[in-house]
Amino acid sequence: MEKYKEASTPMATSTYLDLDEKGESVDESRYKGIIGSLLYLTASRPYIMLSVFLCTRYQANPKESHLTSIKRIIKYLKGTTNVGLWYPKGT
Amino acid sequence: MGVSKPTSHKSIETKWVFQNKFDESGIIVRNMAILVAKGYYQEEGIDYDETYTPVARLEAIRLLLAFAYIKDFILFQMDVKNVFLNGYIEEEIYVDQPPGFFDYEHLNHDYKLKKALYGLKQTPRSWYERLRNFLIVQSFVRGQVDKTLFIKRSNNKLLVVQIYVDDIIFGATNEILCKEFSNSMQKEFEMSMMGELNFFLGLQVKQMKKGTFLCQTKYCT
Repeated sequence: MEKYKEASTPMATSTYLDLDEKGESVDESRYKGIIGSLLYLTASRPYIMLSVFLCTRYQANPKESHLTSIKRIIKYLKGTTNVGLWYPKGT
Repeated sequence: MGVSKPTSHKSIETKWVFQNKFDESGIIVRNMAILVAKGYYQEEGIDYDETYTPVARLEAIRLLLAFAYIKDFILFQMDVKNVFLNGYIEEEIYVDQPPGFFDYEHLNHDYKLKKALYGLKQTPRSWYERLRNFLIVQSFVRGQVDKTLFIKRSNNKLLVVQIYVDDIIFGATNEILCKEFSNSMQKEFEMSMMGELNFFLGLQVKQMKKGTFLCQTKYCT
């Protein structure tokens, strides 16, 4: 993953995901593993939920296209590792 | 643990598990050996009954963080050493003599367990029960929904304690309450006091004057 360029958003606005039945199947347990890790990350960055949850729908039979959009999320995270939740006092 | 004559009870085998503890840079800092019981030989209804044990949810911990900052108090963290050895065993369980530590004068003896060992089915639950009973005696009230949240109120003061197996997060609107709690815990269990909450379940927490910052930098690199 180190060679990947960073992305500025977790998902493109034009992203459209469906079952993609004709697509190439990918390793299901690896796909689920990545999803699990991303879910844990939502503890400190709730806003990636939308893009993660879009991908979780296809865990039963993940295709190349789904994996690509998951990778996009990771590329986004790579550029924003020091981001978190900030609870300011007195507001 | 006391040696007793073998009975009609089956005894459970034990074995040693060896682990190395690493520090942050990956250097081995400690070699550990843990005696575990082969819990998969236990039979339901004979060797154990209830095994369920509640564990805090990550959301609950985040809520507690938010609550602490609204109420403007600092959260602390401590953990219990060898947690699971603290539970008391109510069932009658015998284990074999540990490999390498045979008592050659009483080779046909087994050990009867009074306290829990790692690996037994009911061990996590027995720890939770012991801690729960201890806290309730200390006049804590257990959460209605979250069974791992304990609250103690006196006058206008509030002490909240969240349990995550061996990790305990606590905070109080009054510093004396905090001190008292950590002292009473240290008296009852073998504890390591870690101080202010800063790293918990992969969550990095920074509590500052201006607010609280939560991130998982270490997790997502």
